[in-house]
This record gives sequence, structure tokens and C-alpha cells, in this order.
Amino acid sequence: MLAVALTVTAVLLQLTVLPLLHLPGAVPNVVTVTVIAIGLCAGSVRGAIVGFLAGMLIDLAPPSIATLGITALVLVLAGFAAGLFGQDPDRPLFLICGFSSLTCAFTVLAGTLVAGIVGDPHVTWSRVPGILVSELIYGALLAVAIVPLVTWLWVRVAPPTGRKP
Amino acid sequence: MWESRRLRTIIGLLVLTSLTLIVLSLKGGGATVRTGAQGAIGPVQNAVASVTRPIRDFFTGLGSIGSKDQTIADLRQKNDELQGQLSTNQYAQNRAKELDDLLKIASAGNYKLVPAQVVSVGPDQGFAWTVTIDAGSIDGLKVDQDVITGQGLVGRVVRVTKSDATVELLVDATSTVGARVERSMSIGFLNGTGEARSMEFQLLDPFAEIRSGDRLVSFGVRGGIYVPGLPLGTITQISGTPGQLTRVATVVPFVDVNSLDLVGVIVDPPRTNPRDALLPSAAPSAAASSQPSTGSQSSTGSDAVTPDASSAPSPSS
Repeated sequence: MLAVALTVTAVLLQLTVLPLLHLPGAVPNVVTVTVIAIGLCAGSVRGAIVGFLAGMLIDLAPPSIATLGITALVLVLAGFAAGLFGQDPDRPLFLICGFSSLTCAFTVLAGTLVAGIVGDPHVTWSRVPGILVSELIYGALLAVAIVPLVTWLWVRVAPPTGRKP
Repeated sequence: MWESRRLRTIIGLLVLTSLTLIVLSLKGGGATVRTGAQGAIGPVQNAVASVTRPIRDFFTGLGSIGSKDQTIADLRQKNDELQGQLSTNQYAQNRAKELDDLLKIASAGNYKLVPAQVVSVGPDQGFAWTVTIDAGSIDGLKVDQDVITGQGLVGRVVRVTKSDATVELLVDATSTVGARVERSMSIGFLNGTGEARSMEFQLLDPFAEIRSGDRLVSFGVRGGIYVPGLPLGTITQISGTPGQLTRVATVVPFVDVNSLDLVGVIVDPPRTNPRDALLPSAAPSAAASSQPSTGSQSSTGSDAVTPDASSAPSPSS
């Protein structure tokens, strides 16, 4: 299935390829933007399911040692929100970029809050502002590339009948 | 109507499952699942890391772009090729340098090292500082072994599968290592803060004298997790006055975790404590004074804090 293939690719990119390029700021969050793109194409239910799978993969894949399930929780919300935002061919790209940027920042805030509430020992509040800024920027930049690509693939590969709110 | 109810049910289920997992994970579950996942995903990451190496080389050596003239298109192509070769050369040189440093520190400390490549890095959003390396139990790795670079201690192995190992870095917020001030030999604990370039050193003796610029080495006991004498970092700032109950110093680690590439795992620790012999010689006076102290320290005392040094001559002979 296309969504699963895209998710796995995004997770591998995120954990294995991108960190070793040493780009400025936090590592670009390809997975969140991919979940958003799939949510935009496939609707809330499938967006949330894909978000859950992607989050579990991030939480389980090495080298993760942080609390299991936090990324899954925030990406469920991201996929769900993207589904509500929905797909509209007439919508300008900058709106999608803005949405992606804000959602990426929201996932970081929500994840940090949940981790802080449940007492995850890894939470480092002093790193949050820096990560937030780079999420806002990379979230918008990545959306320019990923959302059109996923939409194009989705129209090509997935059956067009399955578009639901 | 049916649609919205189904929506609510599914979202609710997913959120509940996530929350359940979080609680279970906090209660200590999930370790076996993680090891299973690492066994399955690790080899894929190894493959992806080796396949994408040329892309990384390209990015690290990304240089100039030629002119837009059509007639020199072939020249540009040639230029790009050479540029690519150049960046690859640069990368090969860097790696050779890293290996060289590792070999040097290994021979100075009499370690048996297994070299390994970083293949994946934990997401920033999770805050944990962990990496996966492409060496596993078939290379002789075990949990709690030390990971170093030519600069000093990087972290320790926390999970091992057949072909991969997860390493918790020193700067992780949950990491603690016993440390010794090179100059005064006073000991304390070096804690990770979760920040890449700043750690906290807590002195055990509140009256011990420390200065900004003092260097720290690991203080390990035989059979403990950390090998003694590994370079850790430099003290940059000291808060609190002598005698105050908690005196904390800020330490910049020798190893820059943001540019980790080639590392070594100590699979066989040395029999004797190399003390601070692994630190790069900063000033000639410091190096000269540290040389005799390694010999005299074991005979003159401080037996309570250096069990390996005082017990080394008697059982071995």
C-alpha cells in the first residue's frame, strides 16, 4: 500500500539519511509532513491511522529509547487535523505550507508537553525554542516538495473512489 | 452520521492505544519489542546508510556551480565530476584522520577496539541523545561497553542485536559518568543535560578546588561500566563557592555529538588505569607533571578512590 511505503521511506530518511547531512537546526521532520500530506489526500480516518503507524515506527526504530507512544499520539492528531483541513485543488500552496508549518510546530509542543506530564526524563526544555523555530521553517519548506509529490502519487496509484472526509 | 461516528471511534481508539503504550512504556515494558524492532529495522538502516553515502559525500562537499554558458556544458560536467571526486577525497581523508585518532587512543590505552559507523540518529523531537552503529553482537559488542572517538568518550552501548547496537550518548539527560579532575584528581559526577555542548559536573568534595579550564577524565572502577581515564571534557564555568553543598561546574565535552561519524567500541578494557595519559597534551608543564604522578599516585595513597591502581600489582603477580 502506498501510504505504508511512503511512511517507511519517510522514517528511514528521517533517522538514517537526514541527520548525517548535518543541516542547520533540528533535523527536518519529513515524517510529520508526509503524514500531513497523506491526511490531506486520504481524509481524517486514514490520516490518523497512518499517523499512528508512522509514530510507532519512529518510537520503535533504533536508536529510540524515549517513551513509546508519544510520537504516535501526536501524529494521530496531525493526520486527523490534515484530514479535516482536507484537499482542495484550488487552494494556493502557501496555505498548505502554513498549515504544515504550524502542525509541525504543534506536534513538537504537544509531544514535549505529554512527555513532560508523564515524567519522561529526556525532556530538555531549553532545546524546545530552537527545535520549534526549525520545525516552523522546515515544515513549510518540506511541504513545498512533499505535498505535491504525495498528491501526485496518490492520484496515480490509489483508487480515486476512496476519498472520504 | 455513520461516517462521523466511525471517525470518532477510530480516532478515540488510536489515541487510547497511544496513551496505553505510553503508560506501559513508562512502567518499563517494551524492551523486548524494541530489541525485536531493532533486529528487523537495523539491517535496513545499515543498507540505507551505505547506499546513501555518496549523497552525503556530495552534500558535505557541495561547492561551486559553473557558469550558465551552453558551450562549456561538457566542461561543467567534467568539473562536477572532479568536484565529486574532490569531496569524496575530502571525506576519505576525514575518515582516515578519524581512524588514525582512534588507533592512537586505542594504543595509548591498550584497548581492544571495534570500529563502527553511525547509521542512524534519534529524532530531536524525542530529546533523547542516541545513535545506532553498524556493529553488533557478531562483532563482540555487549551492553554497557564504552564507545569512544579519537577525542574521548562518546557514550555506552544500551542495546545490542546481531548486526546493530544502540548507543546512549554522554550528553543525554539520563546519562551519568564518574569523573576525575585531571589536575587535582578530585572526583565527582558528570551528568548529561540534554544539551549538545554543555554538561554538569558535580563535585563530591565541596571544598575541592576546581578552575575553569580544568579537564576531566572518566573515573571508572574495574568491573564498572566506564573504563577509567577516558577524556570527557573541559570545565568552562563554575557556579557556587567552595564549601557550598552543591557545587556545579559546566563542562564542554571533547566530543561534538553533532558530527559523529566513525566511532570505536571498547570490547576489551585495559588492565591498568591509563589515568590522564589519553588527554591531548595541552601545556608542556601539565604534561610533564602528569607523567610522574601516574607512577607515584598508586604508591602514595588515595586507595579508597583508586581500587584498580592499588590492587593491580598484588593479584596479577
